[in-house]
Amino acid sequence: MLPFEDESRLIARGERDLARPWSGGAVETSVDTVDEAALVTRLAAFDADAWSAIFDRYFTSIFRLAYVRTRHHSTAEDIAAQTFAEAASGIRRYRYRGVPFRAWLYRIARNLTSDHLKAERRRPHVSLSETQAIETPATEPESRFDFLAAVDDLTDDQKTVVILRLVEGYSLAEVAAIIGKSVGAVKQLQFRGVATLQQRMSPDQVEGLGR
Amino acid sequence: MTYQDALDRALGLANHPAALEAFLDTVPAWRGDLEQAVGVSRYLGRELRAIAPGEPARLRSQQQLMATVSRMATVQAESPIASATKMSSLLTLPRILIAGATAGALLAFAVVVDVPSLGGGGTPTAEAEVIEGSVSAVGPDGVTINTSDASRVVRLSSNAVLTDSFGNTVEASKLSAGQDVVLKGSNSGNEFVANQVELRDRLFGVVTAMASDSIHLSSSKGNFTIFVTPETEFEGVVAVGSFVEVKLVRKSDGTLLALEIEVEDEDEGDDDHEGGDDRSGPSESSGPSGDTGDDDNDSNDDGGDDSVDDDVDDSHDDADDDD
Repeated sequence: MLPFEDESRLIARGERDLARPWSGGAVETSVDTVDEAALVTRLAAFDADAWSAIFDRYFTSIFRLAYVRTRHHSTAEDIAAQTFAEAASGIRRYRYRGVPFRAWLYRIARNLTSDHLKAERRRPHVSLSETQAIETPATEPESRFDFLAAVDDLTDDQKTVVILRLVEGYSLAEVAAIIGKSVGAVKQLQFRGVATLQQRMSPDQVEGLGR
Repeated sequence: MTYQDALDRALGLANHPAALEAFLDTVPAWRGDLEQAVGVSRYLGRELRAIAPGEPARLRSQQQLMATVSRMATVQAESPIASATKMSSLLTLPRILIAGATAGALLAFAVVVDVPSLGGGGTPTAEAEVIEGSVSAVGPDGVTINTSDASRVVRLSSNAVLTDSFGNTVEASKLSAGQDVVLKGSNSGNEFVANQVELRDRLFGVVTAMASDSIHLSSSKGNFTIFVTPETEFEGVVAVGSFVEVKLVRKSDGTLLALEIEVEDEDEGDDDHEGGDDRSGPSESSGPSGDTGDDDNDSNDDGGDDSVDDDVDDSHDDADDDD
């Protein structure tokens, strides 16, 4: 059984919104609905239009995933850029075996981010406040609740699951494929991540968000 | 139904108020917690979706991607490095890939820039140098190497020799994306010209058995017996069940010999090596054969990553998700 069979069935029935309940009604590009094998064929043939569509569809999402984990704007931009360069360089070795191209793309991003974080841990420490003073993104919204600080309390896996599930709207199975864990593990990570976020918010804040 | 299942269901219905209410009616004991969780997820989703990359970075990245796609298309058309003759053709590049690393970023974005002709800038000085990294691309402009802090294109001299770690000569076709290499050569102006290329391999996986002179490794590439010697370097205590990174060489008789075995701790291993082969770039943990995905786009081939994560409970490892 393909890991995304359930979602595929929903999409086939025109129920994409149910398949991606958190997508916020965003318009899906043709990249999402194109036949996977045909897409990969085009990408492997280095079809510029196909790569451009993939880039448009996933660049921001991959940036966001990297940003939440690194909390460094330009680093996240670099990782997102590097992800696509890596994908283009390695697409000839991609073989579709049930894990869609986008999951593969996210896995490249995730591994690049992990490598970056690992390297950072080995380097002389630079305080986060110092870094943020330089790199506070202009597009980061001001918030009455410092949700990014709350997200910082999550483990890397929890962050990834929260982003992919709550922001990008991927199914449990798809997230499982991306992070290389079971659906049950993803469910558990989601549970713990959301619970941690709830704990970080005051009852009043949570109450105000509940409706 | 467990609370986790109910939570997932409630989160899945966050944008369907009527359906959410109907569902919450079926789990009255958890209604309050689930309502809060849905609120948190809505808020988080809204806030995080507002975070976006800068437009200059987006444009730069898109240009970089298109340059890579164009370069790869050219490489594909020319059937890259099929022979030593092809290798020598790499000498013609007038460009160099440089890294545009940001202040805090080890990972660099690569941009292609023109390098002034060496002819008019005085006599370039040769400087002995060793570059260690991972091949990210092989093209007519040269071989792109991702090192620990940069990415650059190197030229191979017409008499460049490729060897494995034992010094055995190997075919040029072995040089492909994802291959870890050590290049020895010299700088000539802004270019690095390699005259010796040593190919190195790595594997990631779980140790399934140990003997006095070997370990058995289950990896995404398959199951391997890897021999150890007194010269093998160890980082961490290897045990059955350990998730390890093995730097190795393949001897002429096909046996694998470990140069270094690094035990990944649970936190790092969990993050760093699930699908650890899904890259071909600057990773110090790049897979041995390319590894932007070859046989690794299978979510079930991670060699037991789930087992190293104490944070999760796989007891609910079922196939049903959010419907």
